[in-house]
Amino acid sequence: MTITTRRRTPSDFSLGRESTASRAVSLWIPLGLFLTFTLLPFYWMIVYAFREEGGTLPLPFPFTFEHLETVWNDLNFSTYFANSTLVAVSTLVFTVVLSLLAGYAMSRYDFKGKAPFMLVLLATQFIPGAMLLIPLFIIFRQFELIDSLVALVIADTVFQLPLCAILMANFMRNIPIELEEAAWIDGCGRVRGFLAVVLPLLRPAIVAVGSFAFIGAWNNFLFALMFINSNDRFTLPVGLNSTIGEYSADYGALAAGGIVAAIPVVIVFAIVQRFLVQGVSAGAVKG
Amino acid sequence: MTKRTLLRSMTAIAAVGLLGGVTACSSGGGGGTGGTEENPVTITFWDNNAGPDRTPLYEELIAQFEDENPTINVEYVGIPAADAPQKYETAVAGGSTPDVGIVVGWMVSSLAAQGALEPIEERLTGSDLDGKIADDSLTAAKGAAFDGELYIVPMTSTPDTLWYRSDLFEAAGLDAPETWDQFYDAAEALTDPAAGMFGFAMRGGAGSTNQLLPVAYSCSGIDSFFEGGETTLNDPANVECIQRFADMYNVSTAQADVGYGYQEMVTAFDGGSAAMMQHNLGSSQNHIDAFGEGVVVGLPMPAGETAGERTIIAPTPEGPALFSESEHPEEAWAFVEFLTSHSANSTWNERTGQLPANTDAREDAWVSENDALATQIEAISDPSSTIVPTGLYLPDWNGILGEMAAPFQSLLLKEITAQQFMDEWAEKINTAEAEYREQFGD
Repeated sequence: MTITTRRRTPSDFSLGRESTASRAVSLWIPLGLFLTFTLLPFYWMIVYAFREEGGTLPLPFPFTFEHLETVWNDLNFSTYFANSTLVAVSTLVFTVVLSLLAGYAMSRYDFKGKAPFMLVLLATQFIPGAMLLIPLFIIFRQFELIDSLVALVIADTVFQLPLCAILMANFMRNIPIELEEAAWIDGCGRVRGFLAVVLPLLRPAIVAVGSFAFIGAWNNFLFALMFINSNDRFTLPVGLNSTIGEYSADYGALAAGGIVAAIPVVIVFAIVQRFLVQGVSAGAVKG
Repeated sequence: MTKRTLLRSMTAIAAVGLLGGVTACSSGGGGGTGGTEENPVTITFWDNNAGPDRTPLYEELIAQFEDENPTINVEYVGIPAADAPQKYETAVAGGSTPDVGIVVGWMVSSLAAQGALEPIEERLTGSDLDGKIADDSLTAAKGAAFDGELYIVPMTSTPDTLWYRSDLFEAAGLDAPETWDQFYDAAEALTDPAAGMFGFAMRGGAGSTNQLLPVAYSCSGIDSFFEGGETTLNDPANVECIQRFADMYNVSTAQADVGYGYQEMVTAFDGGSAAMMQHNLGSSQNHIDAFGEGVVVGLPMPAGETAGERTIIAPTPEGPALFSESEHPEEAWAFVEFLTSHSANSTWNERTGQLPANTDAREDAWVSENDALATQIEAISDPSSTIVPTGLYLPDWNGILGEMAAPFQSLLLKEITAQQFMDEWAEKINTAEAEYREQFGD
């Protein structure tokens, strides 16, 4: 019996080529289109932010930093940036700490009315912030917090907390109680056991919750506009809106301001995106 | 960075944040009434239309005022135009209003009816401004209030203007759109969809209904907004005018116009894809920036039949109001007086391209050199023109205008007729007027 062998010809790979072609049609082309659609506004923003006024080329040429300098120095964006950072970081810290506490209670303890409580937490997400503006305004005024960044931190934290607490509780349910029990047997108290054993495992959840809180506070326009009455205490979203007058808009300043506002969020996402997906998906699964 | 260091850093940042907030909270305000140069009284001033044009202008005027009045310090707060009504309403409801704020005519009634604004006629007649504010502006300002009182000192009043590209009209051999027939003929002649050119940029989205009143009444020539306690909005002549106007959508306008707010409309016009646009004098600088001097011409709204005989909807006034909760009303009034004085009013209107309310400012050379402005003043002052005051004083006025924006889009899309649209609008106005009369009398 003779066994013949032959060199494989390119036609033998046709199936593979078809597969690549179909992959291109089903995956790369739609993804490319989606990416183009998503990135086009950013491209527009970069062009307007770095192109000299009066330029007509669809490129940032003649290149200039003038718009960035204008928004940073003349339009007070340096102050808005500092205010936004303070509010967003403070909101992040409070939201993470409080959602850790609430999440632990909801995942580890059984108490009367637990299910309705979680339902109420979820239901608060359906109430638009605008509906609560006047009551919140009156409360903050009574506490003399109008025109204070503290009001923004409190309002943002309160609005972020319910969803973040639920996410955190769901994530904690996936961490076996036996790990904590082992720590208790080794002499740890509940707090020490939590800090030593559970907290390190919660890193993806903390990142996810922290990101939500940071971005929510960073982008919040309504509260910043309503609870603040001084130009020096406004945050970036209000500053951005102020580049658009009723009858005119400074597109160079608007785009440069957009870049100033977007950079921290992009950096945060770039750093945490790995944890974010893990944290959100883990939190989404009911234990 | 260790976890412990990270935790410490985050705690420190949070503490600094809160400290900053608390410090910021307690740093506002100024001295008591009657400040000194060392310890000036601080008044808060809200600008309802902050932006790249107005903010630097107000900052300049405030610096000038503070130089002239070293015992008063003005704290400027710029509010984006789109959010100003909500900001004012929330502040009134929450009891935290400014000392002085710029208020547009359609907001006056709502704020005054809540007791947020101080009537200022007495202050005005006792000041240097007495007799210096044009009658038409004062009438418009009083007409905007629910009780006919004066709550704002008008800095300007903004009549609707038909802007057109004179270069395109000349090239096509068309007459200026002085009458509505000329307007529709020109819109049709200048439309070339294949070339991306349309005769008219229509505001079909946000703010559309503000501009429909001048269309209806200038076209129909009806000389009063109410007759026997009922609005004339759905008079057959007005209905016919609005139907004709709506019928030009997607014929002499772009299809996208149904969603146009102000920015989109002005971008279409100044971007060169429309030959005409309706707005007020506030957009004049945009047209000069886009095309240079003299290319875009502003006319009063077209006449119904004969050029020159115009029916003009009373312009909407805008100016500073004194808030009744002010702890420093004398200092606040001094700033109001300054803003509406000859010099400041002239500077403000020259820079914004609007019609000054101060009579001395109207005599300034720059006014007669601004063709669109001079034409508007001429039209308003022309004895053959009829000025029609509207229901601007109704507290629900602006809410109704907002509610009618979606039905107007339905009209443009031919889902309803102009008769249905105007009937719905008239019913809302009549209900609001009846409630108003019941509450405040005739």
